[in-house]
Formats: sequence, structure tokens, C-alpha cells
Amino acid sequence: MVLEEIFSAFLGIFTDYTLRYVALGSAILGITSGALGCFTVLRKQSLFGDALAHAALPGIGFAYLFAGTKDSLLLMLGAAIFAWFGGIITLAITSTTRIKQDAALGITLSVFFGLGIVLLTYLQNIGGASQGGLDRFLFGQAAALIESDVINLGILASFCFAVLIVFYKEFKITTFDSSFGKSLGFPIKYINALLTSVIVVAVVIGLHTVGVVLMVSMLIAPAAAARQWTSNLKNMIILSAIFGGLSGIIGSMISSTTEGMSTGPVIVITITAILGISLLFSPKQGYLFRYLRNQRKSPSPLDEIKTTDKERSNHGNF
Amino acid sequence: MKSKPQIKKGAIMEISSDLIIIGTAVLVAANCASIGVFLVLRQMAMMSDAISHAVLLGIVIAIFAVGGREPIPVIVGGVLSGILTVSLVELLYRSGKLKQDSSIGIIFPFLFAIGVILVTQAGNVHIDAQHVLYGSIEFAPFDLLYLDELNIGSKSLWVLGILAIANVSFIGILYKELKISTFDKSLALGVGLMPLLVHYLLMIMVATTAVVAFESVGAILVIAFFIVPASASYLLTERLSRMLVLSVSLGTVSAVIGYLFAIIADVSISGSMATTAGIIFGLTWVFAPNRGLISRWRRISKQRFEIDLGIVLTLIQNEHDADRQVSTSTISNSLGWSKEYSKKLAEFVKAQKFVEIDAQGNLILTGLGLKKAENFSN
Repeated sequence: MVLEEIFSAFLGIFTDYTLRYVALGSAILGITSGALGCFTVLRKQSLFGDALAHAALPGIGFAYLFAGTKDSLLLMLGAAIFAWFGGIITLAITSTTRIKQDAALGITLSVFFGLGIVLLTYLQNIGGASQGGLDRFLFGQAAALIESDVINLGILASFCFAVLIVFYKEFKITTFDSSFGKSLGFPIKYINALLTSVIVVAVVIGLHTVGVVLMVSMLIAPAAAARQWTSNLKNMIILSAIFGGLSGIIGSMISSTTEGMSTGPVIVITITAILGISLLFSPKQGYLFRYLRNQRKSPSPLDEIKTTDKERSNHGNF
Repeated sequence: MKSKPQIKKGAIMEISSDLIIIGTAVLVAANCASIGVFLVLRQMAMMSDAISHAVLLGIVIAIFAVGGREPIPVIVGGVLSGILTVSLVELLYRSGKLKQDSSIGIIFPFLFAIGVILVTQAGNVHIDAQHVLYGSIEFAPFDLLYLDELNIGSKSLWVLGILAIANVSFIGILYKELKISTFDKSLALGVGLMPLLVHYLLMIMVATTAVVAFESVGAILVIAFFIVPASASYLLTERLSRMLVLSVSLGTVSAVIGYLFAIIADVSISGSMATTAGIIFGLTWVFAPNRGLISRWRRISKQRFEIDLGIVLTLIQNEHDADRQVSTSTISNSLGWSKEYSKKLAEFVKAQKFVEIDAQGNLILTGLGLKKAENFSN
């Protein structure tokens, strides 16, 4: 029954006007965050995205407080400014104190989120019903997307991809070998700032569909899944974007068939399932094929030595 | 509000609801801040992020299983899902396929997402999706604990009080083990203090604290109490014992001030507490005596001035050796410094009696200055 519902929802993409925008918006988010997430994963900054997303929340509150509209561009601008600010604070804490990155991320994430909650409850109290709807940014509500929102998201996403294509070489070199990049005369600092900025834009796009709380998953999981299938950066980005887009569409379809279900959690479960499949079945590195390979191998005297070696190293780990 | 939990006559404890909320807030902050010290020192802050999100799933499943929010099943469920998170994260990154931070960032949103869907889709859980994020400390006075039909007072105060005793005994009994395994893991291993066991016990305490605090401050703001006061106290002291005391005190202060602000501005209490903790951290970051931004900036500019002083004296000495005169404009020209800065330095070295300035405005090294210049170039 559920399958039937989902199937009819898929048909709905082509026939149903609202559903088309919901699917389109979620796909835009998935594609953008999937592509850019590759860099955060490869740079070992996975949780930086988590802090950025949480830090965006007070930006939405302030934008609404000062501008008084729910115009999605203004709210996104506020969110982007605060996400950026949160990123800078995190970097400043680690570079000027002995506090390590993990704690700095925890500080930014929780304090900015707390401030965001203060603002949202304040707006709720002064604005009454007119504020209702801002809390959809917590867990995402793709069903609330309208045509103008989707156009805005599309423009922002195109901006991200334009930057990604133009600066692809720079991003690649600073990600894999930043000292080599420096020796070639690349302005590493500015390139890093630019990359952070486009990731901020991806996060801001995600606020509508996934929400601030679960956004980190959309940056990491598609990239981690893509990484299981390929070692080439370009292929990884393309595959990650496909995975992200796919989970966005599937997730928003499922959530739109169920009353009152937020989009974010469904998208996150979908993309994690894709990651799980990749971990198990990818031909080169997957558990299944690794197991099959080990089975097929004819026993040789060397195997015994290898196993004992492996056991020993396992012991070392635990 | 439900009509059942009226405070009956003859209740053992009748405390005003404001006091119950403040007490709950302070106990949450103090419990988290003490355990948080070890999270900050062991660089496991984000693991607490993961655990505090993941306990939701265990809590919801426990509520399904027993059909109510009895404290013990809820705590057991939450702790189990916390341990599940830690194990899954370790399994993923030990497999070599993903880095540790990626593993954390994949596992906890996944478990949290399942929890959120269960909360929103199953009608009988009675948790609002938003309260998952920032708790419902406002309702603490209405949630009472009954012992054989007898009202024995606020449930949150009881549970948090017992948790405080557990945390204090945990830290007190395992103080040496925690300390050594935090600062020198290989030493702990060498002298047989079982750092792995300590690690898992600590994770269990983090999960327990996160579950108990969950009802009051939710899954995300609890991180503020784990990490923020502990980080602030890390900037204020070098001793573990003092850091624990300071962290608990700063947590308590943020809870009280945050509560007062929330009442005045009529906003979320837990959000306001987290924001206050952040402000206190910010003040510490700027003003901390040795590690604050101001003292850091002073130290750096003092060092820079010392170096510039040496450079100026060496320059004068070299020019003298080459039989040339040195004026302030020579300094600014040859070192590329601004006129004002060169003038300031020249006045400083004169005041320190390192140089004398003759009628033409030339700088001439004194014996003292010569010594200083030679010291510097060595």
C-alpha cells in the first residue's frame, strides 16, 4: 500500500503543480549539498557543516524581526550571515585559545541555536499567529515551498555551481595538498573563505527542506556514499550530487504522502539508506564483495600468516 | 495543563514553581558542566552532540515499550541508544571507510531522524517535536513524583538530584583514573588503569546525563551545558580540580541569569540559559587573565615591541659602525615603518636611556644601549 502511495506520488511530480515544486526544491538542495559536501568530507571538516547549519537559526529570527516579512530571500540572507559568523567564531576560538576544534564547534552550535530558540519564542509571543511557520526551518517543510522559493533556491544553487566550476582546480588543490597549492602561489586563505561561503549557501538552501538540525547529514552522507564507488574527485562530486538529489526527491515524496510529517527526517533516512547500500555493495570496497573475494580465494600457506597478522592488528586496535 | 497534578495538601514538599524551575535548571547545568570537563579535555565534545541527539530514539522506544514516561525505563532506553551510537560510530570509522567526524555526522542524524518520525507520527508519545529540541523546563513544576499515591514533590528535582549524586560519586571514585586516562592515555594503559573501561563508563554517564536533562532542555541545548562552561573554565585554570569547580559554578550562574532573563523577556528558558552560557564564555574569552584575547593581544604587542626595540638599537649600532648618523627618518626609511611609530620608538629608547639625541636630531647609542643591542643580536 505504501509503495502504491509513493508511486502515485511520483506520478504526481508530473501532474500535481504543488508537488512539482516540492520535488524540485528538495532535488536542488540534494544536488547542491551533495556536490559541495564532498569537500567538507575530504577536508575532514564534516561537523563544521553542523555548526554552520545551527548557527543559521538566529539569522532567520533576526531577519524576520527586522524586516518583518517571510520573504524567503531575506530570511536566507539573514541565515547566511549568521552561518558565516558562526564559522568565523569557531575558527577564531580555535586559533586564539587552546580550545580544540570539537569543543569550539560545540560552543558555536549550541549557543547560536539557543539564541535562535530565544528569538523564535520571542517572535511567537509578540507576533502571535503571523509568526507560525518560522519553526518549519527546524526540521524542514518542503511542502511549504512555493514557486518563488524554488526560483530563489535555483538561482542560489546555480551560483554555487558556477563558483564550483570556475574554481574547481583551486578547490581541488587546496583540499588535497594545501602546501603544494601555496607553493604554486594560490591565495589559500581566500580560496578557503570562498569554499566556506558556497557551503554556507548550500546550508541555507537546505534550511527549507531539511532544516537546521539535520542539515549536516545532507553534506556528509551523499559524499561518503559516493566515495565508496569512486576515487576520482570529479566522479565523486557527480555521484554525490545524484545521490543527494535522489534522496531529496524520494524523501519529499514520502513526507508529502503523510500528514504532518517533516521532510528533513525522511530525507535523512533515505540518504543514510543509500549510504548503507553503498557500504555493503560497492564493488571495490563493499563488505559483500570483500567477503566474496575472501571466500573465492584458494587457501595457500600464506593465508595463515596473514590471518594471524590481521588478528594481531585487530588486538592492537581494541 | 492536565488537571491531575495539582499539589495536594499534605504533600511532603511544597516548593513554589519558580524555585522548582530554577532548581531544575541549576541541577541540569551543574550535572552537565561537571561531566563536560572531561569531554572538553578528551576532545570528545562532538561525541556528546551525537549522544544527546541519539538518546531520543531510546527514550521514544522505551515510552512505547512501557506505555508511559516512567524515569527508569526511559533512562535505560536512552542510555542504551547512547551506547549504540558510540559503538556504531566506532564500528564505522574502525572499518576504515570513513573518518571519525564523518561517522559521527552520519550516525546521529540518522538515529535522531528515526526518533523524530516516531515522535511526530505516533500519537501516544506526548512529546512535541519542538520540545525534542529545546525541552520543556517550563513544565517541571507540574510533573510530580508519586510514591504509593503520596506526592513526594517535583519529579525533575528528584531525578536530577539522584543523577548529581551519581555524577559526583563517579568523578570522586574514579578521579585518578579519569585524570590519568585524560591527560596521558598510554600511562593509564601502562599502570593498568583500564582507559577503555573508563572511556565507556564516561560515555554511560554522558548518556545518562543527556537523557535526564533531555526533558528539561532537549537534545541540542544540553550540548551548551556540557561544553560551554567547561570550555570557559579551561581558559581560566590549569588544575583539573579547579576546572571542575569553576565549570559547575559558571554553569550554575548561566542557569540562574538565563532563567531571570527568560522570565523578564518572556522567552524560552532553556534557550536563554544556553545564550547566557555563551555570553559568559564570550566574556571569559575576551577577559581571561592569562588566556583571554586582551592579555593575548597585550603579550603579542609587547613581544613585537621588544623585537622592534632590538632591531632599532641594532640598526643604530650598525650605522655607527659604518660612521653614519641615524635620525628618526633613517629608521622609518630603512625599516619601512611609519614616521609616528619610528618617532615613538625613538622617544622610548631615549626615555630608557639607551640613546641620546643630539642637537641635529641624531640618535647616539649610550653604553647601556650598546649592551642591549649586543644582547639582542646574540
